Amino acid sequence: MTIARSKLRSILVAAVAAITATVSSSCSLSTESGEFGELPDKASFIDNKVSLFMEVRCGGLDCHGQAGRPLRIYGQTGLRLQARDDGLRDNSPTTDEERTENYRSVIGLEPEAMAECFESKGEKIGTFQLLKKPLDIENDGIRHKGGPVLRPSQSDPGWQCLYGWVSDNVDPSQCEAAAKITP
Amino acid sequence: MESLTPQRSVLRRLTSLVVVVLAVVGVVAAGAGSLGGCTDPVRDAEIEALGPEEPGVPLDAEHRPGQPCLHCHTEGGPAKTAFAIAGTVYETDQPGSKGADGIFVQFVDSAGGAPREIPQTGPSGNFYVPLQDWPDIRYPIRVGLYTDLNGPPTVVMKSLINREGSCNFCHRPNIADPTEDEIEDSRSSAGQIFMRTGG
Repeated sequence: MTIARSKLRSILVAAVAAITATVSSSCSLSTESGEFGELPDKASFIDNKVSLFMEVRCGGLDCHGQAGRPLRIYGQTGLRLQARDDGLRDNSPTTDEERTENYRSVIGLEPEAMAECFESKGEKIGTFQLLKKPLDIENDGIRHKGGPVLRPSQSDPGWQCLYGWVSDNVDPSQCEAAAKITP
Repeated sequence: MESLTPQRSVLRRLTSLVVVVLAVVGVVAAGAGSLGGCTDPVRDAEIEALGPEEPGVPLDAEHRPGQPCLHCHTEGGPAKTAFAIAGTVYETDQPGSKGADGIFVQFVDSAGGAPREIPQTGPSGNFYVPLQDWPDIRYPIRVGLYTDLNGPPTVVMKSLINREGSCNFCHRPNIADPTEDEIEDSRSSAGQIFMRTGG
């Protein structure tokens, strides 16, 4: 009788723990606006041409223009969200839907780190990979399969664009300049 | 019952040892063979997916147009020559178009470097830069197509080549009457490289 009570208690404890875990995990589902802290908004990403910069500089089909990449970028010259009916290349301009997907991909990478960076106006970068990966090791960067692609300086419009955006201080002219491919 | 001399006994033990060693070596070699040796299984699968050579096409610079050359033509790959970069240029954007012959493919990398010789397409439209002709290649790269090197480029690639040496990895040949899967796949293709639109 004592053993049966003990077993019953164990089963109840396990059941309560399982239910608690299930409920708490479903409650921890995040939203764009909330639980990670304040994030840069979609309009600032699209209107300030941060998306354009990333489409041109990061979204090649041999880089982040691939469906399997955690940072997945769509764009006119890279991966398309929709195919043409005839299966030929769609060279039309990047759509709003694609830029919205780009925004979701970028903020979804490390939302906590991005929020910390955004709220601190770029003071707290920590290990935020969006800013660390494009830099070389000498500039405190980390390994990036595509190599170092930005320099953390005033003279690199690409860095000014990306860092400016996650620091709540983006200058669209920097993004536009960074999106130009010079011959 | 014959008794063995010490020398014979040593000889017999030695023979047994050699037999055991040979057996072990044989088993290991067979195992390695069945696993395909020390190659890259991902690349092996990609090469396998390309299928066999076209019948009647010699194994020269014109074979397998439209396919990603560096799958095989890379250091440690099954082809003899490693390439830095290679691809196929077609006359038009139409599926089944002929290869564009005699086109100069001019590259410039992020350090201002370029291949020692400007590659030119052959009759199939194929071109290639041997790795030894551009060993210090620095991505990203820009590229333009020229019919005449003294004139302006006929075609300039609008985006950068970031790290893929097989142009046809991104520029897959256009397909007539594609299946639903092929249409879906086309989202990740820049389409074949071509000199002019239309038939």
